[in-house]
Amino acid sequence: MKADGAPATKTFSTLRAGTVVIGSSLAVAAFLWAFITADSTIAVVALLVLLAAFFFGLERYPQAEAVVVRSFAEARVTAAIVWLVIVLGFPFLFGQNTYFLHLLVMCLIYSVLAIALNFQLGSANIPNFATGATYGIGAYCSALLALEFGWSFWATLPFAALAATLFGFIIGLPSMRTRDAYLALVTIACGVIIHQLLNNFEWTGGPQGLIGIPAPTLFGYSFASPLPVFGYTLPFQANFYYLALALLALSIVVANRLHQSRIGLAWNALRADEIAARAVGINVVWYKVLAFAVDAFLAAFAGVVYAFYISYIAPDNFTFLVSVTLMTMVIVGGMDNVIGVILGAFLLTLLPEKLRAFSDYRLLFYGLVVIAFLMIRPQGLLPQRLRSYGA
Amino acid sequence: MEQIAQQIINWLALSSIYALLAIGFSLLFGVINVIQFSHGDVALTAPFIAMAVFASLGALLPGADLVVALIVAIFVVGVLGIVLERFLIRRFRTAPPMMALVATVALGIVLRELIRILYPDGSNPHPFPQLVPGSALSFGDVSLSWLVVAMMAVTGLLVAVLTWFLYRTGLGLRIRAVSQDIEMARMLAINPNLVFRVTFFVASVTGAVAGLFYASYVGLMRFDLGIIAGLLGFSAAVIGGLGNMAGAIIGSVVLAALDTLVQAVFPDGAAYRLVVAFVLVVLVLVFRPAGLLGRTVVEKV
Amino acid sequence: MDEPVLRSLGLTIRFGGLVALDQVDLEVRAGEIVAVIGPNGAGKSTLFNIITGVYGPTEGRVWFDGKDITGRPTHEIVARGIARTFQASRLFADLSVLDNVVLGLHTRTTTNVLEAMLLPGRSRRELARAAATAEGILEQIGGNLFEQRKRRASELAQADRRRLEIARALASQPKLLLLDEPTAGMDDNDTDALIEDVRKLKADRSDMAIVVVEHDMRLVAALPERVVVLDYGRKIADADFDTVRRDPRVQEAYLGSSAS
Repeated sequence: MKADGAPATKTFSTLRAGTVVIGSSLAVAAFLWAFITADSTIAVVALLVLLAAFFFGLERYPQAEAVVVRSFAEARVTAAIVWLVIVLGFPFLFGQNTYFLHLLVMCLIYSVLAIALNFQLGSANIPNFATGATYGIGAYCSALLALEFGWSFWATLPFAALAATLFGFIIGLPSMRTRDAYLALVTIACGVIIHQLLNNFEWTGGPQGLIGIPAPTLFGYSFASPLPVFGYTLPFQANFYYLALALLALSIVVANRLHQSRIGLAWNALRADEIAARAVGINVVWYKVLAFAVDAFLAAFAGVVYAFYISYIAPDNFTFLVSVTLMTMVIVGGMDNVIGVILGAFLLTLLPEKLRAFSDYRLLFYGLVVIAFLMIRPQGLLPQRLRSYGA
Repeated sequence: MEQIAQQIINWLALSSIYALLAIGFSLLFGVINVIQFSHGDVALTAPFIAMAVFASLGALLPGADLVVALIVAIFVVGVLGIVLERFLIRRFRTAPPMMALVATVALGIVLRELIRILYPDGSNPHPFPQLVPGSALSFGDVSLSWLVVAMMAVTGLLVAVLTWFLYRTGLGLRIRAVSQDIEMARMLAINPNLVFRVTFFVASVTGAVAGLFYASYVGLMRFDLGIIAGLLGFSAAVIGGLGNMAGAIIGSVVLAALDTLVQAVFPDGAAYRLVVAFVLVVLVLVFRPAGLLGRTVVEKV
Repeated sequence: MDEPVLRSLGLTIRFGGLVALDQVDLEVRAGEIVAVIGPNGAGKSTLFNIITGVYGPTEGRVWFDGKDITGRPTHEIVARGIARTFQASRLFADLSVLDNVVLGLHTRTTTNVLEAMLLPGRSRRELARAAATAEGILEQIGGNLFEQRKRRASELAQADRRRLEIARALASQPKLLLLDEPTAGMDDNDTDALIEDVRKLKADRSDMAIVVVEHDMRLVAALPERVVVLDYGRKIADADFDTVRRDPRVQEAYLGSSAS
């Protein structure tokens, strides 16, 4: 980001790579901090203009991007340390402001959801308008186990994930027989069915939902209490920030591992040409169902964290519109590019909050952004990259 | 007995609303090969436009008829269809189906939000007048309102006109040619863009009529009714088999029957009508992917 | 003689009223090169599509390697050792040339989803090995595909696209290779190079059978040991090239189209 103009072909020293890594990482962190704390519409618009200029520059000077990518590849240890410091230290930048921390937690949860959806939408190009529903199943499942049987957060996690994965398999099964718009209709239908059932059943609390979900505890420490670190006390939201951060880290690891295996490659083959994929021996049905299951698995985790964080869930948190929002995040960020997807999730979680003055136009804005992106830049802000192998 | 008669009337009314919507979906899919997921929202702009026109007409020349407003609304929605086709949907005709899908879903959101924001107090439901007041027949508690009679008559008439248009006119022939094979049609000097325009106009007008009936039948209009109306209309078209008019009608009759049955038989059936409708859709798609009347298309390899 | 690697008996398929294939019997032995020729619409590609399980036949059966594969799913048939190319090349357009060939190795890699998540080293090494194998295949095939391995498949020239499809099919080390009009869109030089490639291939892997659907009579004269002629879905000849060429029924079928 700071290294524009340098020819990518030149061998550069570790020192230079390290500088680029540290500089660009800090720039990203500073931008995020400025965006979250921006308190006037003018400041927000200015930051958006800056971001647009940055992406415009990236398009004009692709060698700058190459330098950054290469620097990160070369100075891996530095990059890891810098990012560890940034993400661990980030909550300290906001002092006692719980609202900013809350925004961060929501950004992280949506990032996890967007990565989950990216397995289908980005890697395999399967429409799924039911991620909101799997998210909800995870949340309700864990909340019910906690409220009815007194299970702890940690104990509910695997069961919620299992239930949602099963649901993922079930909505994935019609993909054997249906494609494209038909499959989209099936997923919309499943999403609506789940929402309506959550609304109608008595044991899910009906439209009022479930309240009083207890905060998680770890070795007797409650996540609802403020977090003391080195004589400094962070608001209780910081606990959930770190929890969601761990979940996002897990999601990124899972996404990368799958992407760099034959499974990710097979999904990409499905996206490109289903008949050719069959002809190289890919079991198309299984890989589609698998994409649904992996999506559901991660989305359920996000749902559990959300339920225990907010401590109150209702069917309206898990509507069709949530699914559409998630699709927007993936499309805007960049299909099949994990960093892009996270960028999309942050941007589209923060923007409506930041443009409070226009909060009435939030959905309109989402709709227009999706259409604009599909027409002007369908590959998203950060497009997918070609694979490189081994060595 | 009276119960049953009343339910049959409900069933017929719902059938005609669904059928008008489903025909639009089917026609659009056949010709442009794009699922216009926002078709329901386009249709449900009609009641709002009609009421807005009615209100402003009333200010200009007192005593103006509602009928004028309705005709204006239907025409405006037809033009809206043409505009959407020209500036948005045409671009996605050759794009991956995924793109067109997401784009039209997003378009639906935009349309709904525009209604909500532009119409005075658009976030809340507004009453919508009964277009044809009074009842034609009544036995005891059962009454067959003129509205339902009119709905069925208009639906029948529209289906007849559409059939005539598609099978007996030159333009209809060209529409069918484009839906069969667009490249071939191009070589026969058929201008596909004109065909797209006409198709969108016809589908949107049909949808607008459905939208007006829907609002009138339930007695109110809400900005977010379009999504449910659209999903049900599309479901009906899919159940019957996309791309054929008879399929759209049969799908609508089946869906409406199920819908009415659930509401009549179960005490809290109304809460489950969407669930039941969509379970049917999923089952049909899984066991008969081409719909009840559709033929399975062999993909060319 | 031993059991043929591919055998079909009475293969028939109808699409609505159209009989695309009518009672076709076919035998292909290990190591043999067979050409399938015939006028447009004779059912050549349909034959491939039935063998590879894209369509199920209305009647008749197909055996591969002594096992009945009629109506089995494509991926299973491919895993048993049949690979193919398509008439209109079907590459994974937005993936790199190398990725395309690595995908050809799909049936020879094994990592499942749990292993990919829990044993990332193993799964990455497996893919790296596959990439190395794929690079080897690209080096062997004619043209300069190897030099272009990091480009997107969509950026390739027509002849290279066809070569890449063959390379992808070869990657699975099939016992039977089905080539659907490999020279379509190639000029004479490219066609000669392709004939050379197939000859070289034959020398390296003498047990692999090849069935090729072709219009280019130079290739049909040069390569195959046996020529099968289809016309309106029926097999009307099955012999060596010279015999087939003199067959009056074949001449009749071809008269007016491309004279041989």
